[in-house]
Amino acid sequence: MKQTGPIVVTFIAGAVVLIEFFLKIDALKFWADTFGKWQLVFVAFASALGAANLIRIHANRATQKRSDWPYSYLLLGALGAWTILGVLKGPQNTNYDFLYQNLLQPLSATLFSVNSFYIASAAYRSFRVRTAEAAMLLVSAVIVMLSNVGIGTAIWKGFPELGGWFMRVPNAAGMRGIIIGAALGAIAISLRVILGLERSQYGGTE
Amino acid sequence: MIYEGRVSMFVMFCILTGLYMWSISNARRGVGLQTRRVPGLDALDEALGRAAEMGRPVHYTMGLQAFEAQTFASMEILRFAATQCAKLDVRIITTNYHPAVHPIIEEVVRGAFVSAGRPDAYRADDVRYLSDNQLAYTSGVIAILEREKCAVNLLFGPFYAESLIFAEAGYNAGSMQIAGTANTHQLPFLVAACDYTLIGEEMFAAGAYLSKNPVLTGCLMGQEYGKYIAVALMVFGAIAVSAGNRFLIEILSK
Amino acid sequence: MSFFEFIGNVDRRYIYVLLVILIVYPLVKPIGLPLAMSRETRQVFETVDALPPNSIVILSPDYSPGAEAELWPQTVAITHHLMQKGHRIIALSLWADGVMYARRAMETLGPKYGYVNGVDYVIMPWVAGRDAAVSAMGRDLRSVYTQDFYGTPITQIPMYEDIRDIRDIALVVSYATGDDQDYYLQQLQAVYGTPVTGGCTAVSSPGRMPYIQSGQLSGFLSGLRGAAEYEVLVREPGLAAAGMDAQSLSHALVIVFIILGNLAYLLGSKRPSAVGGGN
Repeated sequence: MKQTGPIVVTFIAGAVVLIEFFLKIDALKFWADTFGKWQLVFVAFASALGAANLIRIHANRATQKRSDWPYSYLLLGALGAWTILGVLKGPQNTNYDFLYQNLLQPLSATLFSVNSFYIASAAYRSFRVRTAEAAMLLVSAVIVMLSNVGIGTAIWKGFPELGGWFMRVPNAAGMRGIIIGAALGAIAISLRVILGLERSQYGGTE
Repeated sequence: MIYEGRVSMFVMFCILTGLYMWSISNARRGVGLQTRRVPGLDALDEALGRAAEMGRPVHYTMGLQAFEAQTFASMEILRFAATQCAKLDVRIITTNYHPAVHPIIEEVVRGAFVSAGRPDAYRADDVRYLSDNQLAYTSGVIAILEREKCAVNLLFGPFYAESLIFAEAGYNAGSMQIAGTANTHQLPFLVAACDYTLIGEEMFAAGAYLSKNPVLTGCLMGQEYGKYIAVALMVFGAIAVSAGNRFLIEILSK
Repeated sequence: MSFFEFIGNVDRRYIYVLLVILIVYPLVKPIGLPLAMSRETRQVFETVDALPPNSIVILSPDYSPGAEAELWPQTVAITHHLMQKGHRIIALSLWADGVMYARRAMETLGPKYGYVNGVDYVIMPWVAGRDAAVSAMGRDLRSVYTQDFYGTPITQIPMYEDIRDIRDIALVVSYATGDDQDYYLQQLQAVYGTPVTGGCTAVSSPGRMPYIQSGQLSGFLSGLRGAAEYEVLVREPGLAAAGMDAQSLSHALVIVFIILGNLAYLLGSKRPSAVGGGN
């Protein structure tokens, strides 16, 4: 029963939404729309579940003084302060906005900008012409990079069009293949979940 | 009965479903599929052995989504990796981004240790939910890689901008790195920065490849047939359109 | 250590310092490198230009602060164009962080064009679910967002009198770092025929090409360059145009180091790369 219940619910919900997508049946449309709205509610609750999980883990760590426990108090304090502000004043409040614009945004942008340094060192380290394929990768990467920026246009006016050709022809062909393959894989997994053949989410195997 | 504009999709869906079911029943009867070598998956054993020799932990991340196709594919790889780590007495630190997935990951890892006969070696603290904010999660993973000096960094799942940060942090920590994603926009970074990368559907094939489970193998066969159909449509379509005949486009638009 | 060994094993910190210098310098002293116009950017411009007067457009900045550098200039540029043409805008986001950008775009640019909240634009709150939210929008748009960001019920918003369902939306403009644009393509464009355009980070742009060629995506802006091109087209120079010189020099530096590294590899001793070697 522990697994049967969820499997039956998954099958019903999945089958209804899937069949309704193709077939014009009013009763199915009502339930498909309803399940769609319920899903929005479930996802919102999952966010709350995340906060509860975070509180549980860090409260344990803080009270038992495990590694880096002061940061757990900091996290819990920040979580509490932000939640209280958001719930009482709403996200349109100027103080909430101030915290978002002046704390979260700069921190996020800073961490993301580390990517620029990492790609430089990764490219320098990894783009070595060991094989013919690696050489092709290198040449096409340089052409596309130069086509994307003004310095490439300044060196040769043909770089933008050549880079565009790389994007529109070989790149699009490769991407199309990957997208089709990934889509077929996604269909397979989705069918397995709906039909109850995929049990890993319940902690078991088939 | 069928919505306008979705008839061809419905037909394709029925054909694919039929192929998947037929392939699964074939696989259950032992009609096998020969899978080609996937270097990244073969390297898993080497990587985990390396972790055992170095006495350093393995880090595993499932990426940044919940309950999408890549998540399920990654769970199979996690189950394999956790089982091997249990057998080799290697710590496996699994970091998680999405709260709804966390109990399932705990169950997968614990189940792997139990099935390997090492329930005592399972450490609940090593299955960590960090944050559902992308960059907060990234910071947490970098910190773990640096602090624990993980010998192996396994990245399987849907990744976004943080993929390169994970890979470079793993490199700087001295980790051997194996990655896999179907997110095409992150593939170049993982290919450049990791030792092995599974591209696109190789992720979805991983479960079948590692576990030899007939359902997974059957689905892999079904995907192959789906690809044959896609290729046939592309070839006939290209010939037809080049000859000025758009019948295939009109059929597929119905 | 020979010269080639030195070149092949440059400490990554030297690369980082040079990168910082080459990014900061042109921001302080712009160089003014030329900018070519791409077909995909022009396609976005023509799509927006061809909208019937007074159309209702969904503007969806689906990104977090990490992608702000590339996608915020795109958001500004296209919003300028939409407001120049007088179209009505529903600003929403599939990301919790993205609602701030939707709000910022409307509240900073709206006054310049005399746009009034509720009449010319409306800002919607965040709804969880991403692809589920887009699917729900297609099924019943009015039931997904029952009030705006400020809590005003949609029945009291004048603009919403003309919106019954997704078919009243003339265009979706989605700015995305990953899959979110795909959700609009899969759930709205493929099912209801709603045109979709927008922008993405440069790293995501190769994945957009198949959708351009199939006609599902009506053009896209690729990263900072796409934003700079659009700023030129709408005659509103901004952050993107200023950042292009910095991007040019940083690209050039990466290319130079790749070439140097390969010269060292080919002409120096060929050492196999260590697995997970650090620096």
